[in-house]
Amino acid sequence: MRLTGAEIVWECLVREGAEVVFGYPGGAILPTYDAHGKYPQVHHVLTRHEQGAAHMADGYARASGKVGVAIATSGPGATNLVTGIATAMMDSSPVVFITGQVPQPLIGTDGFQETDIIGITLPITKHNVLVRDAAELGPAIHEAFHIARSGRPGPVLVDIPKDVQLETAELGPQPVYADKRPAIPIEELEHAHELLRASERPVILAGHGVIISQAHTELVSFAERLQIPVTQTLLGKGGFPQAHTLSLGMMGMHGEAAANNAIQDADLLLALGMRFDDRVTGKLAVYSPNSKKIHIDIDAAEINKLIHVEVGTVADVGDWIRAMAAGLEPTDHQQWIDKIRKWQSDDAARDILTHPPDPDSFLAAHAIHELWRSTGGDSVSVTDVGQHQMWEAQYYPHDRPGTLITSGGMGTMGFAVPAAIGAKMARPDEEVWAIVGDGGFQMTMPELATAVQEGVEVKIAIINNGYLGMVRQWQELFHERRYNATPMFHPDFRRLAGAFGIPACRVTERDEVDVAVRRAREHSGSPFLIEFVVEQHDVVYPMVAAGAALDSMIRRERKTVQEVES
Amino acid sequence: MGSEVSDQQTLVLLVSSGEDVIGRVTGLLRRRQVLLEAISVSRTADGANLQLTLVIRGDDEEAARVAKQLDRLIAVQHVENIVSRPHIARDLTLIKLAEVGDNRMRITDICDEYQARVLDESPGAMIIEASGEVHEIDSLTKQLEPLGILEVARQGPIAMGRGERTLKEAI
Repeated sequence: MRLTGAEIVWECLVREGAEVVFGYPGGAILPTYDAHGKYPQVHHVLTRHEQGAAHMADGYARASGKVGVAIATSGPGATNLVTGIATAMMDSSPVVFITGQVPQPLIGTDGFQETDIIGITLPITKHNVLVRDAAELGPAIHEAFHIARSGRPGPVLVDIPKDVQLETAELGPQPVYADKRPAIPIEELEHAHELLRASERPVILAGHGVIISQAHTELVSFAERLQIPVTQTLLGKGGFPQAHTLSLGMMGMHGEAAANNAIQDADLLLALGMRFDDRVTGKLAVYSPNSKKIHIDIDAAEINKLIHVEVGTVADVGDWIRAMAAGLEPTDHQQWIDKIRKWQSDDAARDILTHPPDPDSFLAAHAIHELWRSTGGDSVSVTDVGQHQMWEAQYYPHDRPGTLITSGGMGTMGFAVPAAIGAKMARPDEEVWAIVGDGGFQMTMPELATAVQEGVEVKIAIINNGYLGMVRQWQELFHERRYNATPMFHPDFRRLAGAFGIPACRVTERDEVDVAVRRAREHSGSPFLIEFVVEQHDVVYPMVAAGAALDSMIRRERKTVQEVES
Repeated sequence: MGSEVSDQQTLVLLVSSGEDVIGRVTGLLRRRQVLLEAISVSRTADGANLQLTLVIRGDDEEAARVAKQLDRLIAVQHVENIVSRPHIARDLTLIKLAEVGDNRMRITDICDEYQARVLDESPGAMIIEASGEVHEIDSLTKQLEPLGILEVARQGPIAMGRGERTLKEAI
């Protein structure tokens, strides 16, 4: 089949099963856009900024489990993708980025809209490649998809000079890649069995890998059989049902106090598909000091990277659990679980719901918890970065995988709105909520136009506290309340939404949440926006200060009943 | 018979000879804060790949971490810390010495001791070549120092495991 390079791009996208791609045209990618007319089966979503395209493709990938695709032109088009590429890299999200490049004779001459996007994205892609010949383009794109989705998923960028898009070449058949899953050494399984049998105070740390490897069902039976409590990383939420009696909720800087205490007191940590990020370990030198550690990850480089482990097995989490399950005798850790229950009953984070510091206050946590209640807890949350993200993680329980999409590793503000649009396009039958602060919303709000143009029925909940709240929190706690550059003007969000043709409402009281959410849910045909005007000076508790031990948490001050009533 | 001092490790890599491959490797070392002491690159005999020898600062655990990070690069087909098994490592150096004059005898003696050769004698300077274990080159350079070294070029070691096993087979 003889095709132009541009046609090869689309042909390969079709073969790879790409139904939707997100992009922004420009000079160096124009031949590819021109050829799109012949491939109507691939829907192209025109974004308002390439960063939006990158986050949408990322959100689409995380929501669908398929590879997302974003397309941009050379120069500024390509550099605008960068934040989105880094976000996908940090959170192991499979996205293929296709960029136009200036024609080959111009490469290296500082040509118009020329940038070395290969050099720029070397550290933030799983792999990238400049294709110099149309005959190499098909194999390069197929390999990009393969690399993006295999092993530990991640972003791959294919840079295509304009002349390569225009020249013709023979496109060979789609290559078949072997599913190369690492074999699990039997002695490592036995060692893990041994440590599990000997343990009296085990804790499972469930990460994103549980969700990526679709091991959630296996994890539930495994934890139940061995009666091991499970705590999750932020990206691991949904990989183990929060309603489960063995669930401890989230660990880490803003994790449940009980989960952090359990980790510190454990005699065995079983880490599944997580990477001991500094936000979950606190001070490494005193992290879970008395425990032995078993670490399962598909990425060999994560084993013994930060934490020395007794057993480190490179494996797909699901494969590992299935291999372990054979010959697994049930165990019981009732004493340990009772001890954890005591910690849980003393969990000040929960008090906010029943005993708010000021009964009249409308806290972000209220808004988010009521949102959970009103939606029946079964919608997909796409959160941005900051206080609202942590409150969502604390007050919006997730019971099934794929119901929380958030920028964890990179912590990219501006992620939520475009990623939610991508997620909704991947799962049109599900209710998708972007939960976003007033700061992050203003970073990528032009993508509302994309949502309207596409008729994407995404719901947007702006948690508006008039500050860059998490930065303000650090200023309050660690910089003597010098609120430099954190109070923030915002437009009238309802009128802004109106300008886009998006219905919207504003909620200022806790008991108004349900009505507003119901209105949003009943609305169809376009996005719906709710602005929650919440307490400005609230702080996310509990908090482990950066570099502090995991169990030295700053807790919310408890007010007595008298204080609350007076 | 590793000649390296204990805080240095020698990684040998077999990598595809695509674009940017050296940049990919050295960029990774930079962003993982690995101190690179020496790097040497050559095409493999079949011309299809490149062979790299990297000398990095760190203990063997650090080397293992770095090796696993390098192994994540798609271009890297195989990486191993050669220090962990019997191997041979050789460095090559060119040393330019100033005005030979009265020192000629002394220089010749030192050259003999290290099996170094005189490659060039120009007015006012001579260039000698030596190869050997890293510590041998170190001590040769040290001995020549008082005799007026003008310039030193050093390739950085290349290394190879002893025995039948080849890098290519290790993939």
